[in-house]
Amino acid sequence: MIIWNLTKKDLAVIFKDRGAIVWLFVLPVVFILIFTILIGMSDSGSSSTQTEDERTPLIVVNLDPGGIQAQRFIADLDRAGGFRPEQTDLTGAEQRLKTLNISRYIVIPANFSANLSSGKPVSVLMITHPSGNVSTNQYAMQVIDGVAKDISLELQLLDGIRQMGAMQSGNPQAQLAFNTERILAQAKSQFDHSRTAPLIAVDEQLSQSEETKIQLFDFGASIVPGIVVLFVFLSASTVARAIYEERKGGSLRRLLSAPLSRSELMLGKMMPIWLLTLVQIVVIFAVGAFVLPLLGIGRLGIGNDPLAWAVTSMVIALCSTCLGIMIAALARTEGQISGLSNALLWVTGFLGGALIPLFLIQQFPTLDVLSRLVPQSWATRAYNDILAGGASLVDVLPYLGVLLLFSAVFFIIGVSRFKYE
Amino acid sequence: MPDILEVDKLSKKFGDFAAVKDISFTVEEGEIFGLLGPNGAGKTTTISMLTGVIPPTSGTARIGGYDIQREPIQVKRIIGLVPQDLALYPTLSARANLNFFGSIYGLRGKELQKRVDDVLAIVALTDRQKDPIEKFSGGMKRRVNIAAGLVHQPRLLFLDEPTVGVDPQSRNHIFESVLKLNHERGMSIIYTSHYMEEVELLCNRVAIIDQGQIIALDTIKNLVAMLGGGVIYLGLRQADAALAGEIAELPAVKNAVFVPAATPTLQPVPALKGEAPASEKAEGPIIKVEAEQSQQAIVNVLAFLNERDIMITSLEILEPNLESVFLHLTGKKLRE
Repeated sequence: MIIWNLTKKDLAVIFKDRGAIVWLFVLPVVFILIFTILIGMSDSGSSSTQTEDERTPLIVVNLDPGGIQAQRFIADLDRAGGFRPEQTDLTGAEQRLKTLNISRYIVIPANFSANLSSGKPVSVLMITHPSGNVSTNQYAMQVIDGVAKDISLELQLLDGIRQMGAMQSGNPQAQLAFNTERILAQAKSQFDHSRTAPLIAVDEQLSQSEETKIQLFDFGASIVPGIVVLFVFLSASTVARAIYEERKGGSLRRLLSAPLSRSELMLGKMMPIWLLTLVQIVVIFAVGAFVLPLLGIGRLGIGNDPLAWAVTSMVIALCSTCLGIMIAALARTEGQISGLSNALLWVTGFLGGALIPLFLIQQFPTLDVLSRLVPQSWATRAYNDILAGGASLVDVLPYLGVLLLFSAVFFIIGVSRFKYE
Repeated sequence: MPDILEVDKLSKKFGDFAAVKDISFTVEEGEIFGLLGPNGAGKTTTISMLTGVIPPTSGTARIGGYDIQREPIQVKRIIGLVPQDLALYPTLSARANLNFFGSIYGLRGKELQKRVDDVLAIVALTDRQKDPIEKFSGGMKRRVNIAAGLVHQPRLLFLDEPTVGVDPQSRNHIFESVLKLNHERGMSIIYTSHYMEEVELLCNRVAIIDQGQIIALDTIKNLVAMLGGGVIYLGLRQADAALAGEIAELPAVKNAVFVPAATPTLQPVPALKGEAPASEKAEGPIIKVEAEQSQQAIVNVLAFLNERDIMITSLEILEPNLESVFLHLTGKKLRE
């Protein structure tokens, strides 16, 4: 009950400070929107070559290099204007996709020209990275499909006319049957056929390589959790400051003379920030779910197991507030709180995958080891597995166990080292 | 009456600095006990130890029969603290502050509201209870500060310099409240201050504390009686111990002490308020005369010196009060 009374009092004090509310809710949302828009805009399937042509490169793997129709297809893609085709081999394309150098490539099959010449249908495949910009993928599909349909129509029309010509030359007496009206009808029929059963079909497929799956980097599913973790752990400095303000304002002295234990006092300072942090998380994820799709980034859900998301969020918030207690115990002045908070939270935030995707940090062995020593990385891993990997609560229990261990250590150090004088 | 507070050789060190050195005293239930001393004497540190804010380095104390280190929660339930700093939440209203502080002592519902109404009436702030503290004057904030220490009806209330920076009207109101709490409700009070007048007005007994030690403890009457009829500082052109001895034999003179001319190793003799110390004016030595009756002693001493043709360079008379007692004991003023 004492802890709840301390909580109510602090919430009342916090909500009188409108600036604090802005910091708590508006800033992370603004951060996410700016970050995701920038990342989304930069998703251009980057090419390593520098050219004056500023069209978006589209990587083409032509498995039918000698085929005339394949070459024509690529030339028509170039003429379509939206993309600049760049040819490469399949291995190279796969590697570039894996490392996110590109977000998509198309594959012209080896039997492309041969099949088209004999009037058989053929498929062009567009392989996309799971993190690829949905809008750009859709646009690419439209362009490729448009080119494919044009070629299909032309080939099917010509084939139709050729057939009529063959029939006419085989039966000269029936030449009157091939009047203009009949020819037009035949052409229209071929035109309609090309639309419903085009010779060239274009399909989209997500990259199936294991590496791509492991490095699953859905922008929505990775950036938002990383920013959530960053801002949640920044709340630790809020806890530290709240205790410092009590000390500076004099009310801490009265609280220490009241019949409550040091643990109750610390829990009473943690609880309001923990609650506000949870609300902050809900607001941020709500933005991810309802605002990001409007920007073409892709909707961010809460994974397949809402309980996993909820429990993970609560544990992460708890770890952050316990860290705040420790900072309050170690730092004696406002300057020390700021310095310690900035050093601890931004550096560990970086190592924890809050600003740079964790899988990129894991590419460097030293950074990978260091990242495992900070709670933020375990928080980011848990969120990534839940949101992008569909993990359940049981799956992320090891991460939550580590976070709870961090929490216990921070709290114990904070309570035992806390002194009034 | 039984003792509500027993302090036994309480000490506090901060590193090598001894802020409080082996102090011992008791306070009877229902008493107003004063702790008088200048800034930095150790009053607040003593209060902080007794109220559980900081742990003592050594020694112990019992409040209401409970040991302050072994049974801190029981102690804290029966004490109240009015700290020197304003320990309030400025953006919350007076009532909200009092509700909160009452709640952490276990008060709930109607009982809590009744107690809050009660203390608001005591400090005469009922009509401003819904206003945020930040809009109050300094005196009003002090009154709410006191109210917050009372809301749970403690048996022993610690008031740590409660009138610092307060306007005279609020100051008088605080005095009235303290006396009312003690006389009507039997509340025991420990009152710390460096203002002699307050302690003389309110306290039954006073401990004079300086540099972490209690240098005198008694009723005000007995403490002041240490000075007899007052203390007279005579600055003379020439004097010695023999002269002091002769002066000490004069009627109405209790004692006389020869103080050589002021040197860097001697404490300068403080002057009355606003005046330069005698030692700064005196070109020669000083005789300190403790009088049984100050007026008669002056007449006798002046006549004596006149007969001997000894020139007086300065004359100061310290009336018998706690300030003079402090000065007499330490050579320093309560408020430097």
